[in-house]
Amino acid sequence: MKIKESDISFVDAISNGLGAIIIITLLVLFFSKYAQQAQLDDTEQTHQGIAVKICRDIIRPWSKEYILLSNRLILLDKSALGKAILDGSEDGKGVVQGNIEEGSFIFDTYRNNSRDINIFGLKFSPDLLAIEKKYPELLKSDIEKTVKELLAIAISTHSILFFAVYPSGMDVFASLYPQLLKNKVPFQAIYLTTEQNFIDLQRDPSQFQKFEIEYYC
Amino acid sequence: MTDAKIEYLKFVIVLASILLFVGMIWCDNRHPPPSSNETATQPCEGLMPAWKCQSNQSKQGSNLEEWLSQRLTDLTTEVDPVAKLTQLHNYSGQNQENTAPLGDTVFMRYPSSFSQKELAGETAKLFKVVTLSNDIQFKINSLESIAKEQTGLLRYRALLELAQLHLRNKEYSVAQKFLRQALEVPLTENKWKVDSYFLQAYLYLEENQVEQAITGLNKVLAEDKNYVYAYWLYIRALHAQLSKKDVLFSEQICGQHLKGLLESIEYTRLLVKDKNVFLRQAEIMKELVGNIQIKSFAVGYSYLLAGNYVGTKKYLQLLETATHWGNSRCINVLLEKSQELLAQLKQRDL
Repeated sequence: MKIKESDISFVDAISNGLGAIIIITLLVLFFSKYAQQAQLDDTEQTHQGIAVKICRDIIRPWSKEYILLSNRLILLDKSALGKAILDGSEDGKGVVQGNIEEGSFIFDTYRNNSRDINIFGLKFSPDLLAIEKKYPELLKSDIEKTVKELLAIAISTHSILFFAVYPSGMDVFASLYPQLLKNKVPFQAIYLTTEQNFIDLQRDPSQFQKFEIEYYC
Repeated sequence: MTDAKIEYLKFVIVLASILLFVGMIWCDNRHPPPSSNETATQPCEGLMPAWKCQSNQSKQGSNLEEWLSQRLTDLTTEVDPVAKLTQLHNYSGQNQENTAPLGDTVFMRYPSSFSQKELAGETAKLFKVVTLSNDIQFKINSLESIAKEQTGLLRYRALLELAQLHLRNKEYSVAQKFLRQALEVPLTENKWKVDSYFLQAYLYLEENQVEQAITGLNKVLAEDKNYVYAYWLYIRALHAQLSKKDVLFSEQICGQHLKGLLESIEYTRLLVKDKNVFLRQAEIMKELVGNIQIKSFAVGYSYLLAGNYVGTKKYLQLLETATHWGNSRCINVLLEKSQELLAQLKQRDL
């Protein structure tokens, strides 16, 4: 049998073609798996533009509470509250009442609730006159700048921001609101009036039936 | 034979082998129609696609298959999967009245662990103020003093809280130290220690010691069937374990773990009354790294349990493009069952 040039080149072409087909098939298999992964990675944000995770947090979520007026942003001093609670004495029902500079509080130790030992309920009523005496006025722009800094801190320390907004502070809050959503820091806001003048902080079993707010951890 | 004929023969052989190769790949990607009785008749040999043959380890492997078949039948013949799951797990809703399954400690999940004296004392008050506070140093100092001065459950609770605090600050070795101390405190009920075992399992998983994490979580779930966070961590651990090749190809273990994973999803559906919370967990599962087919199936299964058939179809359809070639038997069971389920849903216009 004589082997001609054209024989060799023809068989070469076919085997190259076969090799190409094998490679293409492998690439197709690989990319179909990759496409599968990409489809699954399509995460949807479900909670008002805030990407949230459900996570574990034994201690009541690390949060910073702020009282917002038109010209003041006041941090709720929980250290001062804690000291006043420890110094104060419980009445017959396990309730401690007292004051700090910024307002008065009622602290319920939930003595009869036989669950976790650190369950409590705290009602804090701000004293606006005292606050206005103690803290200087701020411009709206100062408040916005401060909130920006607080957001950065909240993100890095995994804490949430809680705003107790008075009617006078609604205007400022309205301008802050888009910023808060954009930065994806979980936050909470309640609206206070002279009649509804208390901030409720608590840790109790009802919070663990369903999540009202998700926290970063 | 002439040169031309030899040449022609070579061409035919090469072309035939190309077509054979392409045909093998194409056929292997095809799934049998759901009503096909061809499955599981012949023993697996060589390159036979796994769906077409019966593996000789099938006795244990078919556990998963039977279980999953029955489950999918049960769940799609009921309008409300929760009612069916309740029945399947002998789940007594009465136990639920007093439990808070999303509670972050066993003391929050169940009433009456601490004594009345402990709940009314000064230490309790300090615990509450610690919880209120944002001041890390104050928290650490107070908890450490409680751990030093108290015994029993109060000491245990302080150590647990310290572990959690340090865990939050990502100080894992300090957290581990406190967990060890917590577990050494003699308590009258084993159940009270589940949170420490849970946190240890979490740490194991962070350090990629998946088997120890699973062992720990088995202990936790045996003591506390209402611990939602433990189920979620268990799902994560099982998925990590199943993403290992040797586990995946061990039929018995693979089937066992898959069953555990799917049952954990079922338990959380029963425990978490809020469907949105349950579905958010399904979405967290999407972020799991590892075997994508198991992940897709788990997410699809979650949507099925939430009665959300659009979501079910979306995630199970991702499995349609998966090839059977080279897969383990238990993965192929998932692929088969998801095809059957999709066909059923289509048939019933869901």
